[in-house]
Amino acid sequence: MTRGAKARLLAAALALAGAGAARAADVLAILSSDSSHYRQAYDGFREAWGASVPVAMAGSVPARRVDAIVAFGSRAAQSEEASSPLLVTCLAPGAAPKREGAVIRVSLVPSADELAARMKRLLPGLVRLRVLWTSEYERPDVEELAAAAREHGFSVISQRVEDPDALPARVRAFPGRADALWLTPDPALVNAQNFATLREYARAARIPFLAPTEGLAEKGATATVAVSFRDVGRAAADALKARLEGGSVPGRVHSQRVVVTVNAAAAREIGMDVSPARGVDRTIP
Amino acid sequence: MTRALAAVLLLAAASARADDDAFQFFKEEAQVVTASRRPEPALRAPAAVDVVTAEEIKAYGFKEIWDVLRYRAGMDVLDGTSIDGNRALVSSRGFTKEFVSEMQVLVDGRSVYNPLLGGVYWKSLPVQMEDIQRIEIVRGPNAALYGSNAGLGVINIITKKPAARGRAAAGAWGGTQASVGTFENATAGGASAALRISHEYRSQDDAQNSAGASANDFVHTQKVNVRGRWSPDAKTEVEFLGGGSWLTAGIPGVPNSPTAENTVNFQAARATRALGGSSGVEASLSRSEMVIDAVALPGGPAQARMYQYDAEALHHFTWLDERVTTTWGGDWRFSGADSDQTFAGGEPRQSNRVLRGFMHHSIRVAEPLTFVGGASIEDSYTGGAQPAWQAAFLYEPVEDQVLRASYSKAPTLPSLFYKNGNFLLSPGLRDVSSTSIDPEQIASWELGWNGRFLDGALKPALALYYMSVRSLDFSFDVPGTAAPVVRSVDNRNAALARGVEASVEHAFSPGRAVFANYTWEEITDDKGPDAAGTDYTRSTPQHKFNVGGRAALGRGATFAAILGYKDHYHTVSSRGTSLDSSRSFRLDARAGWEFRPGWELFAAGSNLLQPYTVEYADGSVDPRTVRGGLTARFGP
Repeated sequence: MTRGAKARLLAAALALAGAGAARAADVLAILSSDSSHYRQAYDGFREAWGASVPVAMAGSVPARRVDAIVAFGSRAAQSEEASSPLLVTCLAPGAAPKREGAVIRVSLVPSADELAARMKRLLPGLVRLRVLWTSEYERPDVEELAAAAREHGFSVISQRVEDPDALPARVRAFPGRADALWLTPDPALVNAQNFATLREYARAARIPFLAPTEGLAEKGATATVAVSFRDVGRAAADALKARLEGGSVPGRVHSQRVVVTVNAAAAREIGMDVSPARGVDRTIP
Repeated sequence: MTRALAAVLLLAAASARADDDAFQFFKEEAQVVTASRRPEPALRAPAAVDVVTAEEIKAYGFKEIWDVLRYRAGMDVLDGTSIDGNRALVSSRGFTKEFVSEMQVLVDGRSVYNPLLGGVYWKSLPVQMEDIQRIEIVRGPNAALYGSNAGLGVINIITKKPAARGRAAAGAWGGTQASVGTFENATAGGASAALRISHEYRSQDDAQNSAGASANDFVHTQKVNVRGRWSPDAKTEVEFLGGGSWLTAGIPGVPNSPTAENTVNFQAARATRALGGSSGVEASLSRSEMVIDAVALPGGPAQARMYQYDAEALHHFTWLDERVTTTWGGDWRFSGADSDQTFAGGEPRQSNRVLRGFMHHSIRVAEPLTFVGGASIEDSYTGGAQPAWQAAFLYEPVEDQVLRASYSKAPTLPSLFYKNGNFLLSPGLRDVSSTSIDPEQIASWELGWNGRFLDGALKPALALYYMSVRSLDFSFDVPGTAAPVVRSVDNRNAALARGVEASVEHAFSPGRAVFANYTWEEITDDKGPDAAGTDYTRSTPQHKFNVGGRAALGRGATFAAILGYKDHYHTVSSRGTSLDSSRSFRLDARAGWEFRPGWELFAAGSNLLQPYTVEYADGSVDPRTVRGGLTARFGP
């Protein structure tokens, strides 16, 4: 056996041992509720993890210590009954877990660089993107997106909506001109009323309205640049595996699988080109 | 506290649903992250709830809080005065009278109910129109949630919190009847602490009645409010609120043109802490004081000082796999009134102490069915031990269509005046009370439907109620007494009320919306008119409807108008005068032009179809008024 082959064999053996160690870890999944979005994310996690793990609903979490907790939703992330040195949160944009140990947050949106790249590919003429956000925890994401946007040749107009209930009144007073609108996945801001307001505003201004989850394209957003709930779960499993195998994992991780969905009817209304070169993965008629 | 109680119950009811709607994920997360913010509070409420937002208040140009309420379904609003500077009578589901003891009014969760006479001094409330974030109107008995004196409903006025960024606004207007107004407010702070300060001045001269005579209804007010927020960590928030109101007003309908001077001040502190999951605790302390100085009344000068201290605490949590949300807690209130004239011949200082414990549950029975139930027991000097109940089933067979069936029972404690009063109203009339008067009892059965269509842009609602009132107050002349005539009160009366409330709102696009509502109310009364002339069968307009719309016209221009219709009715004031009001229309309108971001010129008019109207038997005039002004807003 050559020296190189020996090294490859040793690496493979170590990887297998690591993977085994990860699967042998005592992992508890906590879901905020039995709603389908948390279930989808958990299904993705289970697929990527390769096995089922014990599942508890927030509010009835057993008081036990485990190697890692994977929380699906803010309520789950904030539950304190079970203890663990490692918490992985997903679908929990506003969670502020107060517990000992490390926290890995799986983002609901693509990385800022990927997001900016996909937006620019979808809208080559994009020069100014208005980004709507409310909660303080969204601020770093908006700043990251602004930095990434500069790299891709457009700028971000950061538009904080401090009072989401007053959005319909404030939307007309947005300062400056923008070429597109991006709605951050901020639960304090996203609701049917505000969404309808922004959709109509964008339609009247003839600019694309971009939203952060696939389902919103069906509700009339011009396009979505999103990570599916299932892929968020997969990313959580990958991050947890890597961490338990001794790898270095950043505190914030993003799924690499990004889906761009276009609502063809909404795009037609504003004259937006949706040719294949624009990186569209899915089109809703 | 009560606001939080309602929030917990409503949120718990909302959590009973799970679906694949694109917004469902955000809804669920919003409940955790911003528990005090309810995007659609009316939809899954266990009672009939109506919400008026700051945007609507600004768009329609409402000048006073009761102007906001007069066009809502199920509300009864009259422009009228008490003998001490009040300017409006507001009731829900009928029974409009000079002091509506059966309706609770809260400002940021703090009760502003008047312990001396019952009711609310609307014009003296230390709340500025510019400060209002939204007004929630809960119709029907809600004592299990809000404590006694919430039999006909609850008005919850929620003011703006200090913002995390600097912002300021100022405005001035002037109009007919020599009316002027100014306001200034500013807010500044960061994520951990912020402060908001505001001030308002209003002045209006006398109106003229049909004979061209002065109505002596001038009014001048100053209001100041301060609100601070401190968040020592992500789970804890402490708020401090304080403010005052100073009013000088003429008293119409009384000889010699007397005036009243009212001053109000309050201080409050509230702390909330999240305990993990969806549980949390909240505690609050508050103090308020009102001094009425009414001079030269026919029966002589009169003064009164009223005060109230409150301490409240609650704990809420979910259990049984999140199927049940429970809230429990207690509160203590000490309120009193000092007045030599109101309690003539007896102890001039009268007080009441209320101790209350409560527990509420929201139980997800099955996926589309939620049960919301609550009970409270309170003990007071004026009413003894009084239970209150509320139970509602919410059934949501399809997304955003909620059917409601509910029963509730609420006591109304007699005011200190009804319990201990002895007041020479005029040389010929003395009002006395009865120490044996019992708390009034209101029970209501209700069916309701709340719907959402077109992504929530179209909101229809329907409520049908049947309400019984036992131990309703009733005045009678005490026989065999020498002049002045002595009029006493007891609670030998009873009444039944039935009603239908239908409303629909449609928001077309940003800044464009219409609404319409219709109310039918009928009251039958055991005794008919009492010695004071009060006749509940006639005092409530049977048919009312309102239609309104607001539109952004482009280039910063906006226009809004509301038309209201009210059936005929009959009122009697405590001063013994009566009025038959014929059916009438009322039109209010406002036009604005935002000529540069944050700067707006506006013109508004009230009661535009009439030269003046008299809505209450005291002769107070509500004239057609027109005003115009400029507002400027700075900051994000």
